Amino acid sequence: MQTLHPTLLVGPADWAAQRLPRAEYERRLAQVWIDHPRAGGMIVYGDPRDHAALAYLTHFTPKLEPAVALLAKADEPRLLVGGGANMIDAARPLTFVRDLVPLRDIGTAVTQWLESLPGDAEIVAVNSDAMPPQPYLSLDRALAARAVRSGDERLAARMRIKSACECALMRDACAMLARGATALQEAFSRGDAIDKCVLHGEHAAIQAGAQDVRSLFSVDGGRTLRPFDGTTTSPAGPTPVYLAVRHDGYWAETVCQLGSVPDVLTQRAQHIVAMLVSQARPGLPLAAWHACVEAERGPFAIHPVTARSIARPIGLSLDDQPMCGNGQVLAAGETWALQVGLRDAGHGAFATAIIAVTATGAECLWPLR
Amino acid sequence: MTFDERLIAIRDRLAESGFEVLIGVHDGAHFIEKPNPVMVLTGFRALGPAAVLLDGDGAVTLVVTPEWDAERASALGRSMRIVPAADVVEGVAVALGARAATIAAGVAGLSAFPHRLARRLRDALPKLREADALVFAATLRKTDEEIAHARAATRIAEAGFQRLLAIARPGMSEDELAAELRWHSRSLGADDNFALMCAGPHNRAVAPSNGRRMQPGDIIVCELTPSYRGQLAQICRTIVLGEASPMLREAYGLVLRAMDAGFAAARPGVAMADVCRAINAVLEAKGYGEYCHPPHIRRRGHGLGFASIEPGDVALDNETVLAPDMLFMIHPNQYLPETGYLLCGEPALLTPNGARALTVKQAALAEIAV
Repeated sequence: MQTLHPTLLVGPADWAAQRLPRAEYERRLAQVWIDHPRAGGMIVYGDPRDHAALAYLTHFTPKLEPAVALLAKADEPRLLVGGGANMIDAARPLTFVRDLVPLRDIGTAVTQWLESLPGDAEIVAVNSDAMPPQPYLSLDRALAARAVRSGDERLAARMRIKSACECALMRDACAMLARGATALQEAFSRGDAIDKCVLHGEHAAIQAGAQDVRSLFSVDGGRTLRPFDGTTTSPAGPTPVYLAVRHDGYWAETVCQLGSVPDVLTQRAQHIVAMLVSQARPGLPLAAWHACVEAERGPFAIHPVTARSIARPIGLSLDDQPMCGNGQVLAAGETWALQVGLRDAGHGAFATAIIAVTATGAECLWPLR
Repeated sequence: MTFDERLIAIRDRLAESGFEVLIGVHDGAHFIEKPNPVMVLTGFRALGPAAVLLDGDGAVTLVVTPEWDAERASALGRSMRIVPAADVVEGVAVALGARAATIAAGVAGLSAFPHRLARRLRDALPKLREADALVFAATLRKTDEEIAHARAATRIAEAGFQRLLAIARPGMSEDELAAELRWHSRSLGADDNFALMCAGPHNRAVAPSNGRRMQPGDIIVCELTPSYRGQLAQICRTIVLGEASPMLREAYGLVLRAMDAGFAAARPGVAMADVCRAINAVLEAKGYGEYCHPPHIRRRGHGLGFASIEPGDVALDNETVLAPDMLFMIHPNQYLPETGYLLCGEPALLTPNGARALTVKQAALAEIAV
């Protein structure tokens, strides 16, 4: 779900080999070369907002300024780090890549790098069109003499299938999310104002070691969601609060329905999510989920917040595009965030789950069992 | 100056420009150094990519993504049309209708827009021309509301510094400290905080925090930059985990004197470059001339967004003439070979009588007993 993007990414993001071994990254890169057999190198762009692919291949989270990975098929990876030479030492703990250099003019850096690659090798570009226009044009000029193909689609497909260590990190993220959700509920039970409840939830997740925490909440009984802006102090009534927690790159998210007794709207949303989870198995058309929501929502409208995203792949990004209904089918190893929101004339309610598709069904990562 | 007065000034500039419409775009990634024309023209801080269209007659249209966030924009209460959109470029096309193909449009913010959106916007509006100055030339001076919010943000920053002094200790990681301070500022009403900090015995710069655990004798350098209702203010501070050496005290005294020189030089009618020169002069007189330039330092301060970062950097190449109600940072933030990087800086508001720090208590070398 989209939240207000922070101006600086703050929180633990160091690479830890015991959680994500170097072999995991070698496996991922090997898949890239299988997907692009003619490629000699790959260029991966990431910035603080949009860096899932960069993190997938280098573990690097660009906290302050953009970064570009230059991944050669037959050489060590190089990471261009924004912010100048004095930022390099601070960046080193965030990645296994040892060759870190300042990102200045990307065109110049790529031209030099290309000289080390075979002249007929294709170049795969990932997320390059997220760059602002000027560096994009500079890169475009540098690549003018090369065959270039986009690697976005194939890499996204690879990223949807989670390894065992990725699933372990997502379970850890869910545990942190549970800490935050519990603190939210406790604050609500004490009668705290809604913004205070949100702050308690965020703080509990931070203290549990979260890399990042995002939130949205409602001041109108769930009809709309809004980011924390420091201006709302209205008393908390029954209301949804969206909470997302990131751990070592991987996100977990939920909507906590604050209130003592689930109302009809909430119960209906929970019922639908339970059905979606029960249906999950390899080969299930995503359109089937969409049809289920339509069939089960009864007299209630789909909440605008989830209208385009009742099911999304989840992992290294919160902003993965909605995929429900586009003809694809579920595959074993994928992780999905399910979010069903319903709305009547005056209120809104949500239910959520995160699942890992198994060989025969689905493991529910969230809610915790 | 009020928000509406600034909007009228921009509309008047638009009328003289030859453009039929002014479009401001922003991708929703709110960065301290990225100006946001959508905020300037509407006051709205978007979750996703957003655009604003200002017509020659003064009509304002705000294109909001994701669609469901449009109600928050409506709640601002400003007189404008809201266009909810799944895609910001399609939203602009909807807002312009058949005019899109032929209209002479100036655009602000395009240079920071992702290429994938910028390309499509150019395709949709063949007569699009960049026109950032149309928006930002009117933002050299902050509005009354922005100044009030900067004061509130400064109070939060100063409270954050007190929190840092209370909790920073050896064994704590930089990340833990930065995350706690960011959260603390939110608990005081900040909607964001550019909490840039690091620690070490000899810092080369101030960099984003990482997992390094702080040690006795470390020097913590931090920029605490809360945003209050979208307006940033910053304080730059240096703290020692333990007792400061005489050399460090002396060095910090030097950068404080440099900052004082910057404040003394910042007066209406003076070029921003002269403020930078005044700061450099103090350091050059002590033999640190070579450290007054990149890679050690590239500026002695900067404007404060999120909406506009005018009047720009306190730098030798900024000839902007200072005027009352300009708001910017003055921070010498100097690398010295004997001590490493040292931070001191205050948010400065230009008054008719000169620059005034918004802080109650200005920078001093701090020590935390360990």
